[in-house]
Amino acid sequence: MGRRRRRVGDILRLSASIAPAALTAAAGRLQGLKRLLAGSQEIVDGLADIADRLRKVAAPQGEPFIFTTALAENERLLRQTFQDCDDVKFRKFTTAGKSGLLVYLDGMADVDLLEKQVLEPLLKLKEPGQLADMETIAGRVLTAAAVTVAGGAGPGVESVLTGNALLLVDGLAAGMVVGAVKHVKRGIQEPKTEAVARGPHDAFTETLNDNIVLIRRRARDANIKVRIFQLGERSKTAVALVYAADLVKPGLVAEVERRLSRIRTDQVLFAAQVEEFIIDHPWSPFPQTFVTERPDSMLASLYEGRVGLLVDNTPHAIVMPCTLPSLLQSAEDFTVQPAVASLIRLTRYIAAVLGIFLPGMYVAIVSYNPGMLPTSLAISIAELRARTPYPAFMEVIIMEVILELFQEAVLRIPQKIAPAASIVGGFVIGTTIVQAGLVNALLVVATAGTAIASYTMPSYNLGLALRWLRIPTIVAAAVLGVYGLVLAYLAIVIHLCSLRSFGESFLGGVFDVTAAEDMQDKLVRVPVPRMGSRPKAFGPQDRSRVGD
Amino acid sequence: MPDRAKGRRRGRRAVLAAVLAAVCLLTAGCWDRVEIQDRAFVLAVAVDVAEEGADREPGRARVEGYAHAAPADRYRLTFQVLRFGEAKDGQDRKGGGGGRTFLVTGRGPAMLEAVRDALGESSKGLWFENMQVLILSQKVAERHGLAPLLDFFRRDGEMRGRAQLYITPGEAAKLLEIAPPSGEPGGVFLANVARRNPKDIHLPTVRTDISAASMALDNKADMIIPALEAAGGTMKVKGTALFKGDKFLGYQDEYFIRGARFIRANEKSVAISFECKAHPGSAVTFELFRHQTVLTPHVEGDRVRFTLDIAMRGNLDEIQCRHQHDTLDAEYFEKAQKLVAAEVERSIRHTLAIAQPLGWEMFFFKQSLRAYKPGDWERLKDRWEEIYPTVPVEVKVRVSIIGVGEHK
Repeated sequence: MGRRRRRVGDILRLSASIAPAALTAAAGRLQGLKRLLAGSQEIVDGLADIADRLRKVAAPQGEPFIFTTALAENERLLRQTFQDCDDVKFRKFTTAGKSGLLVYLDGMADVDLLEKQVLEPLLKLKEPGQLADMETIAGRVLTAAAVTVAGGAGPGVESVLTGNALLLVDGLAAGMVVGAVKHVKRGIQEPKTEAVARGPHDAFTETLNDNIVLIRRRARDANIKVRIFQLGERSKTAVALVYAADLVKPGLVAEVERRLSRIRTDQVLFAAQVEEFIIDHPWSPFPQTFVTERPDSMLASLYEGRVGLLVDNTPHAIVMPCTLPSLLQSAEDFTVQPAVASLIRLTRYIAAVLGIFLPGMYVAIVSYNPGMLPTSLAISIAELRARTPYPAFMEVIIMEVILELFQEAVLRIPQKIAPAASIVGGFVIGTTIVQAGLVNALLVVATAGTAIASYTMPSYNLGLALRWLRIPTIVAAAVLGVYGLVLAYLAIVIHLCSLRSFGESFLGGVFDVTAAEDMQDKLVRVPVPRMGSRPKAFGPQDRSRVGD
Repeated sequence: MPDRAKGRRRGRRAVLAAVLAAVCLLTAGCWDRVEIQDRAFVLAVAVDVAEEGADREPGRARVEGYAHAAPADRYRLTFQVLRFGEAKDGQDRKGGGGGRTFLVTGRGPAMLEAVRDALGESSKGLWFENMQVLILSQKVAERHGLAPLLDFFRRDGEMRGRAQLYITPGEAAKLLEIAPPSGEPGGVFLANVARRNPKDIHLPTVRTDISAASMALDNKADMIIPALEAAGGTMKVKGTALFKGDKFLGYQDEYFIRGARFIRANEKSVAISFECKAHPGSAVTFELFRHQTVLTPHVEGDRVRFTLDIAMRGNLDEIQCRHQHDTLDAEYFEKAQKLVAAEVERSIRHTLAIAQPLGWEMFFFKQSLRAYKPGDWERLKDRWEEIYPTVPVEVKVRVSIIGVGEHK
């Protein structure tokens, strides 16, 4: 209480030092300032209201504005929309006495085409009658092939951003989109990961249209349908859904469309993003779509009754549904002799199993069940192991960490020093780690074998899945030995059995006796003349490949 | 959002289950983890009577063995254990068991007790899953019979039926001290000797491992175990021991084994030599490589007899005569075939003359009577032990020489 009183006393003493008249004047000025602030806030609110109302009036839902008959007004609105977009060019001209405007994106539109097929005819035009409406201009004046009338400003703005040109003429409340997309792009090159010795060498690129062309060129078939969507609220990335209308399983296209329509994201930069939105089990380590950069693989999939998805700016197509056997197929299988291809297929299946279980087997056998080894091998392993201080589990973990580090390093470093890294990693570490007694030579062989096995997978993502599954398998083996290994195996098999890719079994119906014919292209690959039926696993409408 | 809430609850439950499983496994798992290098690889086991070696090294005998209540010690078990890290040093013979192995010993009233006793001498747990050889001393086999000796090796989970059985007239542990000249560990050497049996004249060409002995014991059948002898720092498989049931009958030589192999028709390749009539003292050797034997029982009333029809094919492999014979001459050819047949018959007669009085039978006589004359077998089976020692066997041997070698 006393403290407070003293404070009040302090204030009183402070005011006592200032003249009462000056105090009153200051209070008055403060009041004035407050009134001014309140007033300006009202003005701000009022202006915002007006601006909101103006915006609402000027444009229907989803459009920035609407075209008016006054070109100057249209130009002002467009310039407002493209404010600070210095790469948007506004070319003004006069045609038959009227002013006109051509808007295009520098570097994305074909300026030659615009000069010859749009500006030249318009500048030479003398009769004002041919500027009556956009349809007349399109029909009588312009020589460009792809022209469409854009009623709203939204499509007009979007087409400019796509690389087309927007033509506006004074007195017409509409724009015209002239197709003139021409931008820098990578040419069609050889496949990076799916090269074949004998077969087509072209692969998908980043350009969606080129990719569609690569498919169209391979099949003169009107049943191949291409439907283009846009994904990404901001990026508006083009996505093409491709399928064979008379083969695809009824309902599959609708299901893919439904899943695509549920995607809510601002940007789509990679096909993998789309994939994660539409697959059934995003947390599973297994890839649930078949990914290819080969147009021929894609078309073969379409003719099996599958659906393909091409995403602009990604040179890899996504194919659905996907089965494990299809992930273990490679285009190479169909360009070599069937007997050879079958042997390679079998090797690949064995490699897939080894890729998961080899280090786990090492741990289980060395730590728990060495009695499973033949005596001479058991003796030589024991003699190797006698010099290493760590238990087998730690030894394998050390080796796995080194392997993963090495793989990451080789991915990240510049190409020029990659060979040096190979020498350091492969020779120096590989040899000296054994001499140092941290791990034994047999484990180096086992780990290297596992890595090589996972590199043989035709699907990069399947190889990654094997790499991932190896770790829990090693832990299971370290905790429970061969029993743990069997448990891990069962868990993987159960997971594989429960996986569904767009309603189809991920294992591709290997246990389905009615799908026995599918075996012609699973563990083995029979000669093409004997491959008369489409796999049942994808549920095609017509299972016979010939005599449609 | 009831769906999302349900999903979250399910997710939480899954995480909880995973954590529980991880905790269980990490606390309770790894219970029988013993790294391969932390196991003492027992490659061979020698079984002797308990007092063996006690007179030679009384002090050592006091160390081996331990205080326990009755019954008294029965066995002295010697284990040959692999020594790691001396793979390149096979010649090193220091220590008890040669370069690559060392010995640990234990005594006890039972085998497992002796194993536990031997742990006192080993830094690692004895591990039997790679045991190659079990050597019994004649003394222990005579004293206790085969069944108690094999019982531990038949019951224990770590034992493997493929371990080879040997018997030795002397002290079994002595054999484990010998380092084989090949540099292999002793147990591995002995197992490989027994596995390479088709051409080895010392071996009976039947499986003589623990599981075969186990089967014979269960079937109350007779059996044969190869004998092992140590002399001058080496060991050699020499002859076999015959067992009737689990009772030791005695040793027989290679000539007996060869006759048994002819009757059983289970050899792959046998060298058969006869003396050349024209050149006394010179051997002519026939190498047998195909063999068919038909054993037929005949029963007339209470009289049983067997016929043994043997057809053999092979090459003349070696002629030791100073003056070579024309082997393509039909007359010589015919004569050689007859002489080989006579030698085979003589060998079979020798074997039967020993085996029949002993009542030892591994020739399928009993089985063929039971299979081909089941009615007679039912009538005679109780008297089989009396019938067998005197049952007549007619032997007919036909030999075809199909090659005389690269030199005529």
